Formats: sequence, C-alpha cells, structure tokens
Amino acid sequence: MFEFLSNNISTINFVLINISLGLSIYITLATGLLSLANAGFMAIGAYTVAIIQTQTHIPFSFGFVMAIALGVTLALPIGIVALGLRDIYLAIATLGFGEIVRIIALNGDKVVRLFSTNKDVIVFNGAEGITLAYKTPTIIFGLPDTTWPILIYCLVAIYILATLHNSRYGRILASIRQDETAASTLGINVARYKLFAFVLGSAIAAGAGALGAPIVRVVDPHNYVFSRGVDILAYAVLGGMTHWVGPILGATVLTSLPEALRFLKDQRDIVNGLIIMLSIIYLPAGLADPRVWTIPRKLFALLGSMRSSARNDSKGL
Amino acid sequence: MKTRSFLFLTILMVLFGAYPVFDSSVANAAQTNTLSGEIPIGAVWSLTGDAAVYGPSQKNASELAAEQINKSGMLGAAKIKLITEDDRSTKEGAITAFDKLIKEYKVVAILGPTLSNSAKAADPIAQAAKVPVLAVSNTAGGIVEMGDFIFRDSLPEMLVQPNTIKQTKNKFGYKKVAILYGNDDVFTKGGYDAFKKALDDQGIKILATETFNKKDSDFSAQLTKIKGLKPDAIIVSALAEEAASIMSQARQLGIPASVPIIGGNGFNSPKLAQLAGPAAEGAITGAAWLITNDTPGNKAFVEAYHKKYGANPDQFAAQAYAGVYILADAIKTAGSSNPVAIRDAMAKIKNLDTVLGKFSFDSRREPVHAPVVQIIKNGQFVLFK
Amino acid sequence: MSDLPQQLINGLWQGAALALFAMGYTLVFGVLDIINLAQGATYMWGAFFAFLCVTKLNWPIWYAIPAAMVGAGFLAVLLDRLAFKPLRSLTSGGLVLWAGFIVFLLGAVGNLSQDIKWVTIVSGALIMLGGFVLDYRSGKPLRTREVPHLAPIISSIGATFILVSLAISQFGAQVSRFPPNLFPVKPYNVTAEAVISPIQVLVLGLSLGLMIILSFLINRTQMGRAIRAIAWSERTSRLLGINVDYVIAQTFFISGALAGAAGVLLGLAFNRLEPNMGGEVELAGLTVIIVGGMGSIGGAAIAAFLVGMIRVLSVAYIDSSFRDAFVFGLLILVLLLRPSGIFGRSKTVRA
Repeated sequence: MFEFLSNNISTINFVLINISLGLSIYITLATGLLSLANAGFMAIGAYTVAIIQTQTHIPFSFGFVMAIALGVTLALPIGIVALGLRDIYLAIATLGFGEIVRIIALNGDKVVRLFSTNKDVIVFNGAEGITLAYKTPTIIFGLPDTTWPILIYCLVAIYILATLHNSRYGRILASIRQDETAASTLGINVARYKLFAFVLGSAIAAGAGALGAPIVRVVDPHNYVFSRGVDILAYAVLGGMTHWVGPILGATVLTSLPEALRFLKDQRDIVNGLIIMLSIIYLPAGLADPRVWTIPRKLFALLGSMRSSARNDSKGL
Repeated sequence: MKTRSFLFLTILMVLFGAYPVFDSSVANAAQTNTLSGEIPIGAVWSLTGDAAVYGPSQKNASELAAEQINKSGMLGAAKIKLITEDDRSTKEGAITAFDKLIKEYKVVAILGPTLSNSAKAADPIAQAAKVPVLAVSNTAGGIVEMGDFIFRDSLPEMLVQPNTIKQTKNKFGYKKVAILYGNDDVFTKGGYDAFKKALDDQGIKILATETFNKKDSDFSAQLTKIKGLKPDAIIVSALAEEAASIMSQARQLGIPASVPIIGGNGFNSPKLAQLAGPAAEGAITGAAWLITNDTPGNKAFVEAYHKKYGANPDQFAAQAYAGVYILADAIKTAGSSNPVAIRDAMAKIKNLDTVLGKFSFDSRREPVHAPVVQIIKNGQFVLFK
Repeated sequence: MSDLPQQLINGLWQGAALALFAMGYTLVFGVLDIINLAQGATYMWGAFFAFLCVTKLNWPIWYAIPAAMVGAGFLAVLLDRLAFKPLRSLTSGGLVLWAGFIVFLLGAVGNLSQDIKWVTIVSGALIMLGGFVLDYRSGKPLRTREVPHLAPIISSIGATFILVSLAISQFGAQVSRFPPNLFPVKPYNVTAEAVISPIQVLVLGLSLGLMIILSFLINRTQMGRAIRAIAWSERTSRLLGINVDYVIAQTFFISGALAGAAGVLLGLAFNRLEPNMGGEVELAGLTVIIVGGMGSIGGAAIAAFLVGMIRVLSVAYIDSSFRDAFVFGLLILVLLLRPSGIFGRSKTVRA
C-alpha cells in the first residue's frame, strides 16, 4: 500500500484536484446551469497564489484565502449579469469569460506596465508563466505535505456539497434544475439560488486552482484553456450530474484512465472519446446512477439462470 | 452519520484502489557497478496533444540511436533499454511520467521532456531523486538552473540568435526591422526575447512588434501592417508550420523578396521549404544543426533516419539522436549505471564527436558547440555565407 | 493609413472564410437547438477527403471539392446517428450501428496485421450500413427518452476526440499541404497597394453563393419547410406526418457538406491541413453564430464579416495581442444586450 502510494503520488494529487474541479462544476450543473467558467476561475486562483508567492513574502495559506476571496468577488458580478441567459448562451458567455482570462494572463504584463513606473516589470510573464520554487515534500503520516491540503480541501468540498444535497437548499436547487418556471411559481427566488450555486462553484474552482499551483509549479495560460474546461465537464458527465458522488467517480476514472491506458499509446484519445460518448448515451445519469451498480448483480443472476437452465438441459439428456 | 462515514471510506477506497498495479518486470539493472544487462533510460516525449508535431521525430531518432548503440557494442556487454513515455504535451503528464520512470522503472537517466514548461514542472523531481536529465529540445531560460543534475544539448536561443543577427547584419546591412512572433508559446516567445536583445545590442531599430497565436493560419492583418512600415528585414519567431504560412502570405501581399525573413530554431525543419514552396526561398535561420553538416556521423544519421522512417530528420531529431549518444558516452566513461556516476561523467564531457559537431558542456551544464546560420536555396537549407 | 484598403480586403476575406464555416453550424443549431461541437472535426475531415482525392486518386481539385462535400455530408449524417440520434431515441438499429463503429475503429487504429485490418474495417463498415438501414426502417424506438439538455454538447465533444485522433493516426499530427499548383496563386491588384488572391476571390464568391442557395433551400422549398417545421416543434411535425428522422438527416448532410467545403477551401487558401485545424475555427464560429442569432443564416454571415473586420482592424490599429479579447468582448456584449443575437428572433417568438 505504501509503495503503491508513493509510486503514484502525483497521479493521486491530480485525481484529488480534479475531483474538486468536478465538484465545482457539479454544483452548477445540479442547478441546471452549464457554466464553463471553471477553468477561468481555476486560473484566477492559481495566478493569485503564484503572484503573491513570487512578488511578496506572504505565506501560502494567505494566498489561498485571497484566491478564494478573489474568485467570489469576480463570480458575484459575472453571475448577476450572466445568469439571466438561457442554457447554451450561458455556456458560451462563460466560455468567452475563460478566454478573456487566458488573454489577460498572456498579456497581463502589458497592462501592468501601463500603470507601473518600472517599464520592465514582470508579473505574469506571458506564455512562460510563473514558476514556483520546488520544495522536496516531507512525508507526514504516509502522505507528502503537498498532498494533505488537497486531500483536506477535497473532503471539505465533498462534505459541504453532501450536506447541501440533503438539505432544503439542495432540494431547491434540484427543483430549479427540473423546472425553473414551476420553482418560481412556488415562490422560490430562482435568481438568488442560481447565483448562490454559481458563486459556490467558482469559489471551489478558484481554491482548487490555488492548491494545484504548488503541485504543477508552472502556472502558465496554457494550463487553463478551453480544453481544460471540457475535461472538467467530462468528469461530472461521466460520473453523473445529479449526485455529488458522480464527479468523484468521474474525475477518478478519467484522471487515472490515461495512466491506466498508457499501453494504448496513441489510441488513448479515441478510447477517451468513446467513453465520453457511450456514457452520455447509455448512462445519462452517469456512473453514480444506482442502476449501474445493479448491473453486475443482474449479470450474475443471468449467468446463474443460464447455468441452471443448462444443467436442466443436461439432465434432460 | 454512519452512512456518511461509510461513503467516505468508499471514496477513499475508490481513490486508492482504482489504479491498476503495473508489473515492474523491467530489469532493475541500475545501481550496480559493472556494465552488463539492460540499462534503463527514460525518454519523455509529447507524442499526443498540442506538441505532437515534435515528439514523434524525437522518439524516432532516439530509438534509432539506441538501436545503433546496442548493435555496435559501444557499451560492451550492456545494452540500453529506452523506455518511452508520452506526456500528452501537459505538465501533469510530464510529472507523472517522471515519477513513474524514476520510481517504477528505476531509470538511470531521462531524456526530455519535449516542452520547456513541462521540463520546469517535472525536472525537479529527477533533481530530487538524483537522476540526471538531458533536455534535448528545451530552449527557454531557467532549465539548467534547476539543479546540477539537469543538462541540455539544445542550444538556447540566447546563444544562437546574437550570432544570426550579427552575420545577417554584416551581409545585408539592415537598419530597421519588424518582428512577428507567437506570444502564446514558450518556444517562440523565448526566440523573440533573444532576438530583441540581440537587435537592441546591435542598435537596430524595431519598427513594430506583432504577435499571433499558435495554430493561427491567417497572418494577413499583421503582415499588411508590417508591409506599410517598409522594414529592411522581418524577424519571425515561429514554428515551421506557422512560418511557412507567414512566408507565403508575406510574398503574396507583395512584400518584396529583397526583404529577407529571418527566424530562429523553430524554422529549422525540412517542412518549412516543403510547406512554403517558392515563398521560402531566401529564408534565413539561426540554428543548432544543419542537415548538410559535415559533422562526424551526420551523413550516416540522415541516411539511416531516412531509410528507417521515410523522411528527413529535423533539428529535434538530430538533438535527440545526439542526446542518446551523449548519455551512452557518459555511461561508458563512468563504467557504471549509477545515476550519480553518470551525472559526473556527463559533466566532464568535452569535445565529444556528435552530429551537432564537437560537443562540450560548460560549467553550467549548457551545451557548447558552434551555432550555424543557414539559408534556403532551391528548397534546401545551405550554409549562409 | 495607406494600409486601409488591404486591411479591409483582409477583413472581408476572413469574414467570408468564417461565414462559410458558420452557415452549416448555425443550421443545425437553429433546427435542433444543439451545438454540434464536432462541426470543426467535420470541417477537418472535409479537407482531408479532398486531400485524399487529390493525392491518392489524382483527381483535379474541381472534382475533389464536391467529393469532399459529399463525404463530409455523410460523415455529419453518421455523426448524427452515433452521437445525437441515440439521445433522442434508442433503437436496436442504433445499437448495431455503434457495434459496427467500434469494429471499424478497431480495424482502423488497432494493432492488426494488414489483411485482418482490412477485413475488420470492411466488416465494421458493413455492420454500420446494416445498422443504418435497420435504424431507418424501424419506426418504433426501443424507448424515447429524456436526457439532460447538455447531453448533445458533451456527446459531440466525445465525437471530436475520436474524429481528431482518427485523423492523427492516419495522417500524423504534422501539417500536410495540397500539392502545389492546384490553383493559380498570382494575386490580382485591387488598388496599387492592395492585392487579393484567386482563392480568396473564390472563397468570397462561394460563401456568398452558398448563402443564397441555402436561404433559398430553407425558405422556398418543400424540404426547407419541413426543416423549419421541425425547428418550430419536432412533436407537431411528427404529428403532421413529416418524416422527422429523414429531414434531420438532410439537415445534417447540408451542414456537413458546408463544413466540408469550408475545410477544402480554407485548407487550400492557407495551404495547411492538420488534424487540429477544426479547433481554431470552432471558437470563432461559435462567436459568429451567437452574435448572428441562433439559426439565422443571414445573421451568421453578417456576424462573420463583423468578426473578421474586428479581428483585422484590432491588429491594424490597436494591438495584435488583444485581438481575441475584442472578439470575445463583442460576444459577451451581444449576449448581455441581446441574448438572441443581433438578427435572431427571441425564443418566445420562435417556439
């Protein structure tokens, strides 16, 4: 177990980060919103931490808090404006937001230099991005000290969402997903709850980005492009969008899959695509669908009945 | 509450149980002091994803080199076992690949990764594990600075471009230039930084600095603007694919052939002339390797590569090929497959004959060999004089 | 300012290129209310179909363009049957189609010996054909279903992965180009300083021509009426006796053929073909169809020219690094002020 842990620690780190990201999109999806801004908020979190760490001597924990605070501050006005849009339009508006974040990260220094006296100041460092110093991780209770914060963060996010899921709040969010008009006729302030879900999701994404920065250590715009947003979406889709277990399963499978599928080499993307398509077509509620878990039992039952019928046949002979 | 803790347990089990356990039947020949058996060397290339254009030629060349070394008996009874991993052009992929190569396959040295930013993310893992890394395509700054186990055989742009600017300025006597570069790619951005510094040092005026994105295909707006400024030369920091489009479109928009287009390492691919056709005539590039070099073994390498893979090698291939030979030489000198011994032997390499020319590492583990300036004549790269 | 005429031509031409791509995109969007993110992959395959015709069969480019359009059209129909149809209703034919597709993929990319490879590919294709027929003939689905409304987007993302990787496995990730001299390259002088190349003229002409033909098809023919009826309400159309599946297949065919035409022409114009070429137009195309208004072909065309001009003029007079920021800024502005697009009718009127 320990050898396995240490051999695969980087995969485990990425699985945990991706679970947090999957949860961040799950909360909006569970409210019936398709927001693709998560990669953008992840970038905001990561850049906040990286800039604070390289430009000042403020400790990481403060940067992490700042990252989430900045995520919330930006998500509020964006949410207020964008959440009036219908599903596909919201998706595209948030996608545009993500692209703008990327462009700012790429050209941020030009903007900074406009306001700075130092005309050669480097903050964002364009395509090269910000490289954080490497520290050899120390092992605490069998896990590196870089893994603990992500694990705790992930568990806290799961705890919050699980509590939410079973609460009155969670049921209201689900009712908005199922029928927005009906929900509003029942006196639910739809806009407010949507905003709540959007801000919560964005904050989780910003936090995950902040915690991911010391793991990847190179924070550059390329980490947070459109395809990253698609990956995050795929976690929630494969896992299931209506229960918080879904993104956990989805992120775990899809992050470890490329490692597990290494033997497929170049054909890995085809298998990835097949998994996404087949799961959305034949498993629309995702892996978290209770019916999925009865398939093995049904199969066994089927095999058992076949065997017994075969036995009956042989008896007949 | 009970159900919830049960769920947490399930999640943890899923987290830690979902990985298949790989069998590590690969020979663990490392850490012995005699050269025998298989010596595992890792190679991390971008075979899929955005940088999938470069990875395959590096993989081909490194496999060719390993095959030749094993056949020639250069390492006596020992053989190199090259373990190639794909990093999917991502930092995450590079980190997991390094982790796996070091911990599971117990490699004695690593070649790669293809991209500079992946190197910045992954190399410290090897540094911490004291496994030497030889970068064969990272040209950005801040690579060898990561630690004393990190080497590179790819000349950084900062070493190549001052020479290019000096030589071409002597020939053409240009005074004002325009720059066009890809600003969302570390490789081309690094090239731009080097060019800008060299131009400033030579006191050449920069009329305009225009940018584009990787995978752009239309450069007419930027080129029209440049055309209007009437520069004496155009400096382009782009990869071969974009450079080819830039050249065709520049000539089509009526920028005369008397305005030379000068580029960096990214130009140095047979694809440039192939894709741009007649528009590539007269394009100049400063580079680390020339296909018609008369360096030792270069002709044999180009022929063997062409025979095996049906295409001419590019600079990425040449540097990867040289990289395997540099490692093999270090292993031979060290007389051991101990990573630390290999590192020490590699640091002492001086004037080694490679396809790149007489090759040495300086005290900062940067490559030392003469850069070349080349020009496309009749669709072929020839030495610029 | 002497650049201005040339920059205007550049903008016009970028707009025409975008319009060509966006027309088919907005058609499917307008009819089925789904964003087919695999449109970029269809576009790429269209270009490679023509590439195969020209390099392997030695066809002149004039035959290769229509061939690529037909090929891309059928690819889009196949995509509908694999990625979108099963989300509307599950049929046994659809299952057979999927089984055939997996056999086909196994043959195309699996590590098989040469003979077995071809047997597998052909048998996969035959099973797919059988599934197609079965799917078309069986009127009754196994079950109709309610899937999350995001399902089609996600399914098309998966399809993009498959189509792009398939192209990489066949052609490699690097850039390919059409053989030289397929097309005259000598530019025409518009003014003393400004030039336009023959292929650019062709793209401009073709995108205008196709736009007119498409508008005619949609507004004046029986098929167009059926398509509009389905856009209005699929259920009602079914009740009125319209063969909904057939009309949807037609829509996908047209949309795919347009994407294919765009792929070949832009592949020729930029002289670069690569498996990832769809990704570049995808986002710009998305902007265009949103700004233009959902399903509005004229709107998409005008939005395409607008986006082309913004891109070019922001490079010319502001800063090339912020080019895309202006495009997305326009997108967000339009979404906020007029979510149904500049020329779109709002949802309540449409449905």
